[in-house]
Amino acid sequence: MSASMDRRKFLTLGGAGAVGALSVWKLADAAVGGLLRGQAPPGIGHVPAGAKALQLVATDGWASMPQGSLPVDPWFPDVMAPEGTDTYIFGFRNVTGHSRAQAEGQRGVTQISAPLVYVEAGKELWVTVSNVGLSIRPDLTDSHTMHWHGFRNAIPFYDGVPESSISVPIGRDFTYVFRPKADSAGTYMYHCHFEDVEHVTMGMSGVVFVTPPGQPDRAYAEELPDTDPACSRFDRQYAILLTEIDNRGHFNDAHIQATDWTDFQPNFWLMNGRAYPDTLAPNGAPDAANGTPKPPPGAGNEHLAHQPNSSLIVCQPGERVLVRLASLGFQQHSLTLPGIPMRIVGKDARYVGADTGAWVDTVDIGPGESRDVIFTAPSQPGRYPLFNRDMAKYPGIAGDAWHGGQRTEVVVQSGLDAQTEPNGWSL
Amino acid sequence: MAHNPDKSRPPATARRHLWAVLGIASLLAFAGLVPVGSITPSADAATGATSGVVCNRSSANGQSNFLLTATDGYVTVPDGNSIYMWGYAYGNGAFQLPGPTLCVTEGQRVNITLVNRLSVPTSLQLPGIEDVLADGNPSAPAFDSTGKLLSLAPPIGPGGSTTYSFTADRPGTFLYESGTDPQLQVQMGLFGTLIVYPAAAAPGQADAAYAYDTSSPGANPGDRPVYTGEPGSIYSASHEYGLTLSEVDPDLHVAVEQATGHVFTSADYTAPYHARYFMINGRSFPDTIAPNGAPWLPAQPYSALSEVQPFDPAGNPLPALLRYVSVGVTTYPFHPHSNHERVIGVDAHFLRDGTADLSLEKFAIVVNPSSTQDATFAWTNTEDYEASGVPVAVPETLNLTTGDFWNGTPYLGKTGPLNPGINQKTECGEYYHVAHSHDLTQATNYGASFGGMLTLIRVDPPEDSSCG
Ligand SMILES: [Cu+2]
Ligand SMILES: [Cu+2]
Repeated sequence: MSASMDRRKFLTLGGAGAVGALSVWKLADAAVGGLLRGQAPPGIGHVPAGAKALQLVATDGWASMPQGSLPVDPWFPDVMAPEGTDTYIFGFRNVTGHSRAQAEGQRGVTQISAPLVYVEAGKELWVTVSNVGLSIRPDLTDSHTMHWHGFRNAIPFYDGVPESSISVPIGRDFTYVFRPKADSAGTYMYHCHFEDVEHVTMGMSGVVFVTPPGQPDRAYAEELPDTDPACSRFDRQYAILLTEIDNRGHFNDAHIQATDWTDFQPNFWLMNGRAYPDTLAPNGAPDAANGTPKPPPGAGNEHLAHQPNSSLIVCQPGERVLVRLASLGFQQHSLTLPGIPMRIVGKDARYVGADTGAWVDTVDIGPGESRDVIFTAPSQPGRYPLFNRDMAKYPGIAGDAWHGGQRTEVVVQSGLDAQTEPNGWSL
Repeated sequence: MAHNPDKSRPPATARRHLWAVLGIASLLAFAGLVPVGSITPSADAATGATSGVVCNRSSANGQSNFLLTATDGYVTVPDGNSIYMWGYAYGNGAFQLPGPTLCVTEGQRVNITLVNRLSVPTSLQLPGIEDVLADGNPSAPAFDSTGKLLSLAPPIGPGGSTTYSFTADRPGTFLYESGTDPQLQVQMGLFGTLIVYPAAAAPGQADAAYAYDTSSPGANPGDRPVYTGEPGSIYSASHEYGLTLSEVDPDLHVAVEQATGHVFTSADYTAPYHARYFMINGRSFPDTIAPNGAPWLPAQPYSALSEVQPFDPAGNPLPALLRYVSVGVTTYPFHPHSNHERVIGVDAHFLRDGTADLSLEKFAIVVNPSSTQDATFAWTNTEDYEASGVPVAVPETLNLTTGDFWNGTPYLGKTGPLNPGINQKTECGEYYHVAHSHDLTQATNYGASFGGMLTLIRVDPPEDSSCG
């Protein structure tokens, strides 16, 4: 919502606008039914062979910061939050293959960070964004978009910027078609661009990456031997999205208050939608039958049903590990991995090769940037923290200064199966 | 667009007039402002170009001589606020923000006389320029008897003047800014751009120029841009743009305004610094896309709109050049949408090591405080959907939310209706892409979205048919 305009919209339209939009959804239902099995709706077009088709619903919901976090009165925890949650969010959820009713049933149960999306260069990616409205704010008639941040071939129509393009009103679907070219391998990100500062920080952000044609085990199209520092071959890959949360903005959105976004001053720093120590919890998977979110397995993870994406990096001694870093926060970050030298092989989805790549101990990354980093796992099994060196700003709690910050771990252990999906996560 | 009177430049077209009128109408409606009459912002700004670098040249006998006056004035921001600023006027002219863009040629001796009409001491510093003389003596930091730093260059008292002299010994984009109490004075607006053009003859090609030298691209062929395969520093002289990034804490400016008449320093401002306005070329969106010299922005003469046509190896082979300058206090993560930009220079150093090409294609141009970057940009109509059609049926416009900078179709050069109540701003089916700080709190006007450090890239259809 815009600070003032939507307030006026609310006052003049009241609930009527929202009700009208919902009835439109019903009308549209018949026309787009086929979409829900991963196919393009009749009359929309044919998803080409080899292409990936996804359906993402855009809606609101609730997430949870780490248990035991210090309150920030009155903003955090939000008194309106359902049991087990504390922070109001917007987000994208993957409902590919689910029925229309199931997709619509996700209104109010979104997630942060958004689903990890990837595609092979040269193949198409069709992403249908379905705006199912906001459960807590039926007064807001916000549209949503998908902006593939850094995608080079975008025409405005598929760029997701509402002012220079279209956006998706409540009750509507829109299918974005992306055709990453053969030379476009690398790590990108995606986010909603509607009222961008608000929708992005509310959680409508995720990682999308492109693999080189026919080389799923390389970050970029090259065939250098492992011994070459510029080699981008890996045994395992993990994508980590960096964001921040200022709970005042989240509270204000839930409580129909305006936010001056130039006041932004985060109180949590997230990796893949979670703050430490939740970053270490495993991935969560929704109920396969109906798409309902479920918490990750394990005691103490019950609060993470709406934050399914782990940041734990697990690998075997001597393996090459690719870490795809992307930032959609508003701050500059410096990530360090003590004891393990890192080689930057990509910046902003461009291979940096021998001339401009570098060995580093700290990776700098700013808002809207990406870095592809490769390291060789130490021969010594163990736990190696990977964290934002600017830790002084973390909230912390008594006995744990890292609490609430951007910190995860590289766990080196033997006896692992080969990785089949990035982050061990399958869309 | 053209900066350079001695190079060929396309004539001003009807479309550009249309754009200017459109801009005035819509922006006045937005900001509720009244035009105050036409002004000539600086010496040779009246080139007829509506956007792009506006060069001030003052060259005689192999020397460039400039007069700048440090003075005060007001700028407007799109939410209607008026902000008290300090700034550099060209010659004895009127206050402007940023200061006038000074253009010289590599090898020239440059003399810049600064007259101080402020109530505080000030000075000029030129990061990256060596062996600067101030009135014939080395321009060195000044310390008081206790060793406390007074100024990064010899301070000029109110009413005084100093002439700074140096040789422009390498090409590239430089900035000039206050060297006295810079944490206050640069924030107040005392900054501008200095462009050093290479001495080497321009390429034989029409409209072509070099930003640095004439060397051909080096090794590393896997990292060629998609548009030419010949990055180097060649660019289209009629598509040269300056983007100076800055920010404003309005409370600080009110404090300085109320203190006018006596010496005010950064030490006198004890409230926490908190920027609320974010600017490109001294303007916040949507003012950033208004034309050069827009009469309703009398003290903010420089447009930040860039305009290109699709890359075409035969008809339009040259990339645009964007000269980024940051005078902020934080690093700005500037994000141009559409094709990436190729950073070819940082702090007026060509990114080339012998034959090794160190330039880098980026989708975030991260500009540090007091730093400059030069980037080339070309837009390629990779998909050519105009020929094939988009592969999905386009929903009826009424089933979508439509933006006023959308042409109403997926296609370049085509137009379609927008939803009722949306005032369509496209003229001939051109595309617009945004370019903005991705600290999205900076892409706002005091927190309100789609403002601040944001501008547009205009992509015109290739034949420029209905566009003039
Ligand atoms: Cu959104
Ligand atoms: Cu973005």
